[in-house]
Amino acid sequence: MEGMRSYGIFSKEAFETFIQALDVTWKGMAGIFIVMSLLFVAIYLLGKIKHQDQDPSA
Amino acid sequence: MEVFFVGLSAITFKQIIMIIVGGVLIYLAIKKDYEPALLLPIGFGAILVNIPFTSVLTQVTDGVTQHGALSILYEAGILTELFPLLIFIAIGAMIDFTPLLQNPRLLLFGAAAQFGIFFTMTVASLFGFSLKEAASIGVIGTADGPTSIYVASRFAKNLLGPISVAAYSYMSLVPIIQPPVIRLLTTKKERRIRMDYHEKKIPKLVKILFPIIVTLIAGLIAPVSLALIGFLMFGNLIRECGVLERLSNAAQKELANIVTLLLGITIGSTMTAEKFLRVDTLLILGMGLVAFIFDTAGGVLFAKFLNLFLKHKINPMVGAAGISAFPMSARVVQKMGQQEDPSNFLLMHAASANFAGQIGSVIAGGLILALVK
Repeated sequence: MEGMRSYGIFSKEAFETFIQALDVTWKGMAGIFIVMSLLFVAIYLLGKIKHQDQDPSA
Repeated sequence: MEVFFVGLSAITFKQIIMIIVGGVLIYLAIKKDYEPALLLPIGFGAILVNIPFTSVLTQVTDGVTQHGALSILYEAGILTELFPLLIFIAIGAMIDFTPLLQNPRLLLFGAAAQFGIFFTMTVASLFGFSLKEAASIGVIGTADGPTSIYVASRFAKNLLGPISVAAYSYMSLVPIIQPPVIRLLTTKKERRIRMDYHEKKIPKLVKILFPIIVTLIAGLIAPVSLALIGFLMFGNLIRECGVLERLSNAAQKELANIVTLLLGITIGSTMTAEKFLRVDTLLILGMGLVAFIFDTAGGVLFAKFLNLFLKHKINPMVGAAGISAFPMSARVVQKMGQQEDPSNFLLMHAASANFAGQIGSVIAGGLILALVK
């Protein structure tokens, strides 16, 4: 069984890829939290609009 | 007589191993009920393509090209990314996001429980995989087969077989993988935390607007994710609009069944001995497990972090349900909660987190596509 990886394990190139992966990691996690937070705000606002619709004193 | 033994005489040791691997997948599907709709076609596909001179793959004989059915399906459905996207329409039509709309704060767990994707990507990069290959391996942690296939078909077609097998195998093993991780990271007291549940009627307008808003937000932030999130939300819009019941039923049944059938056997066709029997395959299977473990840990630890600031505490186990594996993960949390306290019902909270995980996993896949160059 042989491997088809691009670089050797813990090689210099692997460490360079590791640094790139860390960069993608923080940006990716930040991106997911931003999108989910925006969705949370959107759902919260949708709930408020409905609530105002139902409020007879409004 | 020789013509009758041409296959038998040409078969290699590696091909025999792959036929056994195919048999094991079929066994797991039938006997253990591990994602049978996918693992059985994958297993049978693996057998089909490892028989010498198989006519299901395109072969060139004496300069004449004989097109194989599975090669055609691979080119038409996987290379074009069509099969996973069609599956997304079906999944979208099956999902009722009501529990999530009732409890939107749990959306954040759908983000936290994607941590395993990125952790695994960094680990895979240290093992010598290129960034695109490492990202494809990490995406096993979406716990979402179609997303894994979609990303791998763009970034690492050579790893498509093992990544698909790992994704679907671990999804079915969620009830075995998650409990020890949850127990390790939580105290008995934390596992007994009760969470109030107030059923709230969600207006139809909100249910209709939700898929459109998700598409707009995700699409404007990461346009490359639109194919993934857009098809998922299109399916959900068909379901919720109330005027396309026939199409909704077709998406949930006929479309889901036909594409699942074709997707499985086509993925199986990538499992030829020379592509599958490699050290990389074992590494990928191992890292897929790492991805699921760290997804679970990410969700649980995020819940514990939030509890530092919250008056009404969240049961940290609910965080573990922020992965996409629905409904297995929600059931695991409910079962563990009841083991600690039989009168504690966490199912609706866990289901909400689980739905958030389905959205989060697709967004994570889209962001990976956008960020990895």
